[in-house]
Amino acid sequence: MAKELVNLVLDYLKTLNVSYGDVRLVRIQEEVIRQENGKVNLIRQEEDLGIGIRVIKNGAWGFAATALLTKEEVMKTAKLACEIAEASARLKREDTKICEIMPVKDTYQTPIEIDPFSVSLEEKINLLMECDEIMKKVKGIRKRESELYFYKKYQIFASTEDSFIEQTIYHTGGYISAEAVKGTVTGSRSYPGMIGGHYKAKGYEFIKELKLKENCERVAEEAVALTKARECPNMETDIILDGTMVAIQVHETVGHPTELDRVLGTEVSLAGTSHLTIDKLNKFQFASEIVSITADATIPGGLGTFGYDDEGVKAQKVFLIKDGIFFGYLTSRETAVVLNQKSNGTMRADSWKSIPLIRMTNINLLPGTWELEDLFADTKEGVYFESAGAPSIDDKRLNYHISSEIGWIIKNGKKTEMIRRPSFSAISYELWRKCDAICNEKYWEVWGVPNCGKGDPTQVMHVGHGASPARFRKVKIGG
Amino acid sequence: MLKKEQVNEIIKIAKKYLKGLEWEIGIDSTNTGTTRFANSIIHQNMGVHRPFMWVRIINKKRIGSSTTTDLSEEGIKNLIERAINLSKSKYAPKLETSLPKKTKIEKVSKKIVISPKEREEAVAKIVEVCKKNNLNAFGVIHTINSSLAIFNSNGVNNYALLNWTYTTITAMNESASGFSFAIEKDFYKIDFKKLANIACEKALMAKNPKDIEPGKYTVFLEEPAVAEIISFLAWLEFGAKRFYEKTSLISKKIGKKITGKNITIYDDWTDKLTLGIPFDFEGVKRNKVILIKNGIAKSVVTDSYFAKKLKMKNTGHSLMQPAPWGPFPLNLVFEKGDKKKEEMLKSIDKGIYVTRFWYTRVVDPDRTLITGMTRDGTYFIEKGKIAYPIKNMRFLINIYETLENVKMISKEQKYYGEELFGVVAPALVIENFNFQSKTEY
Repeated sequence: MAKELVNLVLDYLKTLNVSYGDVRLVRIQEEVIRQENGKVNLIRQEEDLGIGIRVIKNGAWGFAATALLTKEEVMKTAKLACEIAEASARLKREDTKICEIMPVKDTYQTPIEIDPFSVSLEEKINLLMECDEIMKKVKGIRKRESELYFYKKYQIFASTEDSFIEQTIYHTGGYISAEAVKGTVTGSRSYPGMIGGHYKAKGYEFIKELKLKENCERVAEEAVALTKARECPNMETDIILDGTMVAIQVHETVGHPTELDRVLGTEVSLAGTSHLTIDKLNKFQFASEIVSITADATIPGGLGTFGYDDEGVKAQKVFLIKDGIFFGYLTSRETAVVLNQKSNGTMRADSWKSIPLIRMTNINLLPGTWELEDLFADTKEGVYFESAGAPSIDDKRLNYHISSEIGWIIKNGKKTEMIRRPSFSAISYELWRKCDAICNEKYWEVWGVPNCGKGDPTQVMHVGHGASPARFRKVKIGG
Repeated sequence: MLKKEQVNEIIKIAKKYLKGLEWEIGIDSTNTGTTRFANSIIHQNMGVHRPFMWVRIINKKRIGSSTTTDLSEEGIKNLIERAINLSKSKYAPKLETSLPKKTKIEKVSKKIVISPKEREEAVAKIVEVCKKNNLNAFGVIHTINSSLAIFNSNGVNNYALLNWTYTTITAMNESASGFSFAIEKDFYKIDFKKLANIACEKALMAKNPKDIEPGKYTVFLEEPAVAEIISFLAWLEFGAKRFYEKTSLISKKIGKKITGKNITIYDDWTDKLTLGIPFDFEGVKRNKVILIKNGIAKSVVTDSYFAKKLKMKNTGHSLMQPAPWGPFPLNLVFEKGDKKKEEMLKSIDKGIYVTRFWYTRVVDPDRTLITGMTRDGTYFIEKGKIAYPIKNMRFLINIYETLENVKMISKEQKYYGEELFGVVAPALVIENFNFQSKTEY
């Protein structure tokens, strides 16, 4: 039925004089289970099903989408996409061009061991309750939370260029958190230590790999200890960031500013532009020479891993930063034309109702050579930042600010006193130029960010970041 | 959007599968037209129809909830079956209060459908003004028709139909940008040329910005900048959940001074500037709630669950249930003052003029400490006039301390926000506003 509907739309588009058309039929299933202080306060299963139709007609783009999957409604929607393109065309300066690709007929599925939607609700809830019991035993804890999240997307992508691709993507993740309060001070700790948890393109086996129960006691004890910890001092010092902090820094200061659509101004209305303009490509010393960063949609387990993007372009690995030099962009079929290149396959939409945009895939800081203990031993004075908090950055991606849940003063090569919510701010490329040590592959993890916002209206995308702990010299920390 | 008769038909189908159960159904159906423009051309142009239905089943006091966009009979049947299955778990959330009692509330605005051609014509007007000023036009026009219906087995039968248009314009060249916006219920009331002129004027004034050192300054905040700060205060302070947990500052200060005497903030869906839906997502009539009056902490908003927990009145501020993050004020109003904006600007000897903020985030909830960047029109004020543009700055402020330092409040207010959550805000003059660092443009 779904394939018939997609083919019906494609045949109809060919009669409407479009120069290009694509259709995405998407079904997303999500399950969220959450407990707080031993009570389940959310079990929700969601289903989002619909069709999105994108065309180039009269040299301009049009897009229309509907959740009503009847023949009559989808034909009406295809016609609306064309009317919208005709309206766009009245203000065009030149015809829209997209780079050529080879048509593809293929299927792709996230490799999983256990389908998370086949695991019983009881098993999932039992795990959350066991976590709660462990955290509850730690004296001084006021609030305990834990959550599991499962995502499955089935998509057909088909185009008037004869591509027809079916993909099934699974994402799985969760978190635990504990909160203690003393007077007006709250101590909050979570695990696995990324904003809202850790997620991977895996099945239920990932929940077992997360070792949530094994970390409950430590998380709760640290939450209590944080209520007694002092605030972050204001000073300039060396900082060591854990993998989650590095991942968010890669996201905000490398992933977003290398999106070529931003660079070309098409995200000004909300997300902004980028300081990494085309004149800086292959010339700009963005980071120290030990820093190389890739966009890699092919690595196992990343939230930005897939078979093909939402333009039917095969998943790829490309360099964005190579040996510290700004080396490349994330591109689409339309923006690649500006660079006289082929698309590197990063167009994704968060739903059938959204138009594809350039989105991060897995943006990865390649591992270095350091052992973490050697890195501490080599740092005379500094602060270790652990578990990323919320970042903030200007609309050209220069002035970057972030805090972490917990920090540790480093003195004479050792972690000493705990500090609460340390923060730092810096100009992004100046910060990367101060990077003088990156930990090796033993510490490297592909962190999942399930809530990357972009577009207007905002689309929420799942993206990944490979990172290991790293050191940055002489950074201004505190308020 | 769905007409009331179409909603009734869906409820009739749903009832076939809900016999013998307590239930709540919400149906939000939205038609959105979006035209995005950049570099003075339209680059994304969309029309989307998205119906969305949720059900909350109460089965022997246990809750099961599920959502779908498939409103076919099979889709509705599957939705209800999923929710019933979830409610059978021994761990399923318990309904700790009863579903809201019978109400029938309707608010039906005349449907205004805006065609792709009308949106293109509006963009053409904006582009024309920008071109005359040698600037490029960037921005978006969203035109929305939306219906929201909440029904339950106790006889709640509420329906609202709303239209609104949300538009932003950024006029820009290589070195400067200026911003303007409008959120209006009636598309035809928006003067796109006037808005474009405001954005152009700001961009032209922003050319060749100077560097100034971070520190504490007197600021003139335009309405969107004020709305952004207040929206973060709402997340941290105005809902009943953190109040119940005693983690919000307001939970320790009811009846006591919490801001300067000149600050009054309330939630009121009837304010003519809000998009205003008269009932919440449980179907309860929204009440006006005074949150801060003349600097004194007064109350927070509740839903049925937290009203019972706190032994307070249900103020009608539930989000879609189950709502683990508690109730939220969607129609905030920062009470206006008595000053003209020109008069406020004139009062500043030296200070900073802010058009809007960007990427604001909470640094420390205990202290209502937030940070963010200025954007699209930041200027230095000297002797009561905008003297020259300055490079953008990062602010780091404690919101309550900042609200101690408000010196002037404008007579004019604007509604600024995203979709159904916005703040009706005046412009403010604030002393000792902390800028922590700067950027390069």
